[in-house]
Amino acid sequence: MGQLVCENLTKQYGKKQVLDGIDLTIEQGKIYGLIGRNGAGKTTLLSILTAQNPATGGTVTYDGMPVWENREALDHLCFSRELNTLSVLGPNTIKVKEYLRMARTYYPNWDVGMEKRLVEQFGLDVKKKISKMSKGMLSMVTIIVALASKAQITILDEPVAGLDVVAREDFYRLILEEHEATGRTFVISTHIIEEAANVFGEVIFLKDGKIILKEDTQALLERAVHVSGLAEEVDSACAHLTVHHTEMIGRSKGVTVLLEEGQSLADGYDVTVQPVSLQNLFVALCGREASE
Amino acid sequence: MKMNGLTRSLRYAGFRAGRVLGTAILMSFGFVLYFTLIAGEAFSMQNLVSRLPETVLFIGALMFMIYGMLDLVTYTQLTLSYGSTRKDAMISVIYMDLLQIVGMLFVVYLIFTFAPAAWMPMGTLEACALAQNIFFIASSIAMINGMLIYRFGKIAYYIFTFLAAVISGAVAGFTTFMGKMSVLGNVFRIGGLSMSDLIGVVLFVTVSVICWLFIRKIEVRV
Repeated sequence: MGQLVCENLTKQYGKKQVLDGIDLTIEQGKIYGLIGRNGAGKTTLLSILTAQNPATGGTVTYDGMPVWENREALDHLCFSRELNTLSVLGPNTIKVKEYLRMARTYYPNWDVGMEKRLVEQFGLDVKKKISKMSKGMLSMVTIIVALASKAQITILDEPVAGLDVVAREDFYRLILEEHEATGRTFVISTHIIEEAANVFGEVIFLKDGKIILKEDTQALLERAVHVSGLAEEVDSACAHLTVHHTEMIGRSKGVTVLLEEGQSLADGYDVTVQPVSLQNLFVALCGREASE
Repeated sequence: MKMNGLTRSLRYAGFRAGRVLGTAILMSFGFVLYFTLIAGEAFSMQNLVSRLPETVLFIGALMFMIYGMLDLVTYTQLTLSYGSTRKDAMISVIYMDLLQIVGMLFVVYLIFTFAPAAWMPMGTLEACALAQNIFFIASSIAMINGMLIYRFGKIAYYIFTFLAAVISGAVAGFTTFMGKMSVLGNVFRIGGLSMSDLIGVVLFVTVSVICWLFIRKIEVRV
């Protein structure tokens, strides 16, 4: 049972800074949601954490051991990537059974029983080529690899992309059951934030290659509020607070505020205070307006 | 008992090499069967058996070039995405190539050992020397192409396909020619082997070193 720690991680492609001084600790036994806009650096971060890609700078360790080229550390990690129907040579003609055969060989704790059970549950045709599969089916393959790997720290990149709502519910249930039964750590990168919010113990917001927030989901939602009312009233109520997102409709105004410890809205103003969903909080912190 | 990382890599590499080898052997015999069928009344056992060496060399070289290229472009990427170290991935690529070469050489050896000597264009040792040279060169070209395809994408693939056709034709012509003119011109011949027989091995070792430098920095783009 170990921690995955990265310190001052940087990644540069040519002149483009994709990751910029990331410090992150993935603790054992939690489910993390990694949330960021397209191009924020999520996949790059995850692939460096699992030594699939080299970092430009910084260190990544598992249980104190460097992850790079370290078999002992890598045996505890699984990064189940999104599968691509195209390879560099054209359509990806590798069959599902070949993917699973490789995974079975490479992951030291592979659970064959779970693999078979999930293949049956998802109704996957393992003889099918990757290029002939739908987006949802590809997601199912990545989910099977992630769960059956039995790796201590399992990372999934966009696992629910293309899955219908029933399959998504099945996925969240499987993750929670596995987490409860084994105490494995999961890091899930996703754009479907709202329905996954209940699954994540902690959320990590990544923006422009930097981690802008890492916090317990419940605690975060408790201190995030949406304040609305007449513009002057809202401004006065939030005068001493950091406002993250503003909407104006005529003379009315709505703002999203993250209350720090000991902070509260100023009393005596006619404003409506409502809780903020994780998705709206993400938009407030990482949306276009937040960047300006 | 749990296997260590390298053993797991070698296990899968062995399976993959076996599959390539099996396909190459089946295809070789398939081609010979085809030649037999189109020979019609001109068919003779000598004609059939004497076609085996060049067919095995031609198909073997072609398969090694195709799969060797794919190994670098897809296999290495997949193994790395499944948590293999770069060192294990490189060792398993070399292991795969060597298994395939040794397997095909064994087929060449069997053909030349059991076929009547009078039907064969050369002796067993010369045949094996020639075959290993061709296979090592083919595997080296495949590795170079794999690296080029990773770097430049499909353009390199099209160039490779053209080169593979030209080289395969040249190999086929070369082996037929050698069958008539004896092996490798007896240049620098030492005890039945020539210095030129080592060209393939030297090229393979050189390309392997370059390939290791390439795999060390490779980015997974599955």
